[in-house]
Amino acid sequence: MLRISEMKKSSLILLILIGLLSGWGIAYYRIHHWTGKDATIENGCWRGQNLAEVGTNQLLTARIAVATLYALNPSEVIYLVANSDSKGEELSSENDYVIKGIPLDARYWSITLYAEDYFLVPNEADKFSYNLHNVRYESDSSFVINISTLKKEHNWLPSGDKGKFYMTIRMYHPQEHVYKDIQSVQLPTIEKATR
Amino acid sequence: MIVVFAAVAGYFLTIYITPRYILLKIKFNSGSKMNVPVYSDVMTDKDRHVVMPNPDFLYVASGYNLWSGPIRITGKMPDSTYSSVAFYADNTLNYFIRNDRQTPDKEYSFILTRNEEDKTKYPNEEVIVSPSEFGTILTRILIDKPENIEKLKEVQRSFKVKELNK
Repeated sequence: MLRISEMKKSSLILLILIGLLSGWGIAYYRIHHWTGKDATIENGCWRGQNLAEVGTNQLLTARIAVATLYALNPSEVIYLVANSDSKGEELSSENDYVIKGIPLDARYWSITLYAEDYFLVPNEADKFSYNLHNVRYESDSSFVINISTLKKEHNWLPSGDKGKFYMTIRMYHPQEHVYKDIQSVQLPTIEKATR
Repeated sequence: MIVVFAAVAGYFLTIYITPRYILLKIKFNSGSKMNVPVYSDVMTDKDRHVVMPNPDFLYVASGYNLWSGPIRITGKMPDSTYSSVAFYADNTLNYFIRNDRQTPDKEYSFILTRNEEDKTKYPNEEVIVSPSEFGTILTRILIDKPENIEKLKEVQRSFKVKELNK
């Protein structure tokens, strides 16, 4: 009788452990593998989350802590992330890309390249981003940023040699229309380029 | 049925713990002390404590601990460029922010506490009630022009944290 009871106890503990581990695994995967499919903001290849939901949405809170720790409230800044080009293909340092855009309607904006681990990519130029102040504009006030492992003459953003990477747009104090209808804002395109 | 209940518990527990674990990991890895500001230089690929650093900013970070009472935070903001002071709870959520446009005289002073009653104890101060005992204060200063960096570093250094019960 005692043995049966002990066996039941062991089985119970084992079942609880299996359950806890499964729950942990599912949560870990959902936190760390954000595909953008459940993004609340979408515009071209750029995806974002409505950070006003942070706090009530615990999964989003955990994702923010992992991928964009210390993000600010949307009243201060809008963050947008691209992990694919304008054709939907995953960004990779095996390819070159050109980012073409017009100045964004915000007090300060920047475009930054991050490695898959969300840190800046080591490179000989120590160049990690461009912003409204340091990007070189074309004669029509647009800009072209060249993403490549190989040095480019203007607006070179080195992509390193580690494969997958992300682009992030930050818009600090954007104009009212950006908040009202971000889907209609003309954001930069990311096109694959020939080497 | 037991497996399902345990899985649901494991799922929500992981989601709850993750932000707090990350905050503790950063504190442990950086070796920084509580209520002591850390003044960072311009971010590069070598800065690997906090994900997605912005290389356009000068940061000051200070983990806070209100266990022994309220703290006073003081500092200045630059005249010409974006700056902000943001407060984050132990779950890494931003619950308060003040930027340069909201600070016309370019100087700020806050009392950070856990107790609502401190608002009456410090009637002439701006009192912020923290939702948690622990958290982080993060100051951002935008480097608008490279030639301004030394001047902006002076502003960065004006950020101070003082424990009021010490």
